[in-house]
Amino acid sequence: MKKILLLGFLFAASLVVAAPNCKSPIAQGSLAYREGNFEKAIELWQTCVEQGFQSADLYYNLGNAYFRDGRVGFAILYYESALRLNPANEDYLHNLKFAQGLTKDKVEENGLEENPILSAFFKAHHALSLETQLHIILAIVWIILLLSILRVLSANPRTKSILTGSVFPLALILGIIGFSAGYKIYVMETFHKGVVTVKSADVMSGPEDSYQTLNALSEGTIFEVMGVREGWVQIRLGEKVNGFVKTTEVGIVK
Amino acid sequence: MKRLIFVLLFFAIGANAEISLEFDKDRIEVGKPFEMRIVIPTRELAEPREIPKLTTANGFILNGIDSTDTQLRDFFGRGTNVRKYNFKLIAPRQTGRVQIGVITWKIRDTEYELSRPVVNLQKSYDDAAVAASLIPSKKIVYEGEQFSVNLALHTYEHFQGNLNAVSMDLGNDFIAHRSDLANLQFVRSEKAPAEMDANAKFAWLAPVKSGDLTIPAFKFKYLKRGAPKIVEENKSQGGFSMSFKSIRQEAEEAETSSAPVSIKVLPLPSTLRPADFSGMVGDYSFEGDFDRTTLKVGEALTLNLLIKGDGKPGTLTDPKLPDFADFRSVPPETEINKKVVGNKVITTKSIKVFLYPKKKGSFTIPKITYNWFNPTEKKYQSKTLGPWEITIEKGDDNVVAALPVSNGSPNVQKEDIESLGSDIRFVHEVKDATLTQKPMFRSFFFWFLFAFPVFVYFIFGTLVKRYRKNANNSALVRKAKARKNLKTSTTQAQEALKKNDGKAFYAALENGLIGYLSDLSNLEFRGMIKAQFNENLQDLGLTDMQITEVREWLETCSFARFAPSVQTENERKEALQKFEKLCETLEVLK
Repeated sequence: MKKILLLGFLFAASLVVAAPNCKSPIAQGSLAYREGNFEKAIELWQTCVEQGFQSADLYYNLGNAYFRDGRVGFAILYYESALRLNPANEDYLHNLKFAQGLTKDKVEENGLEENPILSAFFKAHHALSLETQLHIILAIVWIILLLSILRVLSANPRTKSILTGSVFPLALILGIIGFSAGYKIYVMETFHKGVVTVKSADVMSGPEDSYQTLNALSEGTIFEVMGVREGWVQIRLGEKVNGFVKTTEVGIVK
Repeated sequence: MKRLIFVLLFFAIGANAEISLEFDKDRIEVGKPFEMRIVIPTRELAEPREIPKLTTANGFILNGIDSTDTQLRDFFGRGTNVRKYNFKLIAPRQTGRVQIGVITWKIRDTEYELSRPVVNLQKSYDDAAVAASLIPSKKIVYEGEQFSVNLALHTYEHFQGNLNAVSMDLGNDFIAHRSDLANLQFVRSEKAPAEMDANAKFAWLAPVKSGDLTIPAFKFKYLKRGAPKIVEENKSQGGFSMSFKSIRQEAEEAETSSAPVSIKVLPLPSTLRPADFSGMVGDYSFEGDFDRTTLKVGEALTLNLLIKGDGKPGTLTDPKLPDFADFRSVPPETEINKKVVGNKVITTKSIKVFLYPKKKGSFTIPKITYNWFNPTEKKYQSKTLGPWEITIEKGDDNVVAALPVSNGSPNVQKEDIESLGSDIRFVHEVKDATLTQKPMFRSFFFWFLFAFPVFVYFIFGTLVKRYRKNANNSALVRKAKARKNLKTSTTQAQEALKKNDGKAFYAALENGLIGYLSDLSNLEFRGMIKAQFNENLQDLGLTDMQITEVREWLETCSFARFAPSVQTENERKEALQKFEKLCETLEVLK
C-alpha cells in the first residue's frame, strides 16, 4: 500500500514539474524592460505568447514594451488583446488611448457627454470576466437545485415559502449574469478586431496583389475583421473602407 | 442776388404764382436720363435776359435745354402763364444725395445764381442691390507668405435682406485661415442713409505655389425689391364683378458676385537657400531647451521645442531632430495652435521629445537648427539651439525598479512619472499566465455541470412523485405491510426450526398466515368464526379450493402446536415451503 502511495505521489509530482509554465521568461522580460532593453523584453514575452500562454497583464506588458520600442501598431494590438480579457482595466484603457493618440488616423472624441446610466451598465457588464461569470452561473444553478430539493422535501409550509423566496432572487441574478455572459460570448464569436502593425497597409479590392488598391491604413489603425483566408484579411473600417489587407501587415486581436 | 430774389418773390406773391424746380420722375436712377425743369411765371421774366445756365458737377451730363410756354391753373381755376425750362440730364453712376450743379441766369448783364439743386440718386431696380468686393492686403507676395483679404459688402436702397453666401471657395492655390463672419456688422452709409456698408477681414492666405494666382469670385444670394408692375385684379362679390389695377413691387431673389482677385506670387530665391530649408516663409521664432541636464538612469528627459511664426496659417514643419542614439525615445508629442494676433495669424507648434537614457555617462546632444525665409527682409534666416551636455548618473535601484513596474499600489509614483509629460502607465506583475485553453463555454464539462442539475431535479422529482403516489395507495401500503409482517413470521419460524421448537414453529406460521390475511384485507381474522372467516375470504376473491387450503393449513398448525413431536424436521421444512407457496397465492387478494 505504501509503495502504491509513493508511486502515486511521484506521478503527481512529475505532472506538476512537467506542467509547462512561462514564469522564467516573464521574469526575465520584466528585468530586461526595467533595464530599458525593450527588444529583449519583447522577445521573451513574445515567446510566452507564441507558446500559447494567455494573460491580460502579459499582453499589456508586451504592449508597453512595443510602445517603448516605437512600434505603436503592435502596442495597440496587445493593449486590445489585454482589454479583450479584462475590459474594465483602467491602465489598459489609458495606455491604449495614449497609443492611439500617436497614430496618424486618430479617433477623435465626439465630445458628447457620457450617459451615466449607460456608463453604469457598461461598468457592471465588465465588472466580472466571462470566466468568473460562468463560474458564478454554475454555482447559482447548483444552489438553486439544492434549494429546490430542500423545498420538495420540506413538510413545513413556512420553510417551503422561505426556500421559494430564496430561489427567485437567485434566478434573477442568474438571468442578469447569464445575459451579460451571453452578450460577451456573442461579441467574442461575431466581432473581431484587427490592428495595422506596419507603417502603412494597402487595402486592396480583392485578396491578391493584382487587385486595385482602394486605400491605405496607417500604423495603429483599428478595423473590424470580416474573415481570414490564404494570407489575406477581409476588413471593414466604418462605412467607407472595405477590402483586403495582407495578414503580414496586420495583427488580429485574440 | 438778394434783391433779385426779393423782386421775384414779390412778383410771385402778387401774381399768385411761384418759381419752382421740378423733375420728370419721382425716382432718379443712376446712369439714366432725366429732366429737371425750372418753372417761371411769364410776366415775371425780366428783359433783356438770356437762357438759364446749368453748370453740372459730380458727373451729371447735360444733354440739352429747351423751353415751353404753358398755363398753370390754381385751385380756383385761375390761370397763370408760365415758361418751363427743361434741362435734359444723364445721372452719374454714384448713388445717394448728389448736387447736380449750379443754375445761373444772366439778366440785364448781371449773372444771378438761381439754385444748387440736389437730387437723390438710386440704383435701378434692375441693378444688383448688393455689391461685394475682395481687397487683398498685398498684390505681390512670396510663395508661402501670409497676406489677408478683406471682404467688403455694400447694400443699396432696394436690398431686402436674406443675404447668403453661395460660394466663398478660395481654390486650391492657398492655405487659408478664415475668420468668423458671424460678427460682420452693417452700418448706414453717410452719403446715402438707405444704403449699408460692411467690411471685415475675411481670411488670411498663403500661396502654395508661385505664379499668377487668382482668388475666385465669391457669390452671394439675396432678396431685392423688384421693378414696379401694374397688376390687374378681378373681384366678384354679390353678383358684381370689379376690376382693379394696382402697382406692386414684389421681392425677388438675385445673385451677385465679387470680382476675382489676381495675386502675383514670387518664387523663393534660390541663392543662399539652406540645404535643409524648412519651407516656412514669414517672421519666425524658434526656442527650446531640455527640462534638465543631469538625471539618473530610469528617469525621463524632456526636450521642449517651440516654433512660432506668421507664415502659412496652421502649418509648421518640424525641425530636423538629431539622432538620440544614446537614448530611447517615443514618438514626439506635438501640439499645433493658431491664433489671430493683430492683423496676422500666428501659428505655434510645441514639440515634446521624451528621452530615456540607456546607460550612465556624459552625452552630447547635437544642435538643432530651424530656418525660414523672411519676406520683409527678403532673406533666409535661421536659429540654432544647443548643443547640450547631458549627464546620466547611475540609477537608484529603487527608483529604477519602481519606474517601469508597478507593485500594486504605486499611485504616487505613477503621477510623478506622468507629470513629466503624458506617458503610458507601468507594466504589471504577471501572476496568472496560463496556457491558452478552450473557452469555458465551449467545454462539454461546463454544459454538463450546467444541465446536470436540471436532470437531477427531474429524476428526484419523479422519484418523489412515485414515492408519494405509492404512499397514497392503501392497497399497496397494506400489501407492503403484509409482506413485511409475513417476513418477520417466516424468520421466527426458521429460527424455531433451527431450535427444533415445533410449538414455536407452528405458532409462528399460524400467526403469520392470519396476520398476513388480516394485513392484506384490512380485516381482523383472528378470533373470527369459521363461517365468517370463509365468507370474508370469498368476498376477497379467493376460490373455494384456496379457502379450503387455508382452512386445512390453519387446522394443521393448530394440531401441530398441541402435538409438535409428531412432526419430523423434514416435515417442518416441507411445511414451511408449503406455507410460503400458499402466501404467494394469497397475494392476489383485493
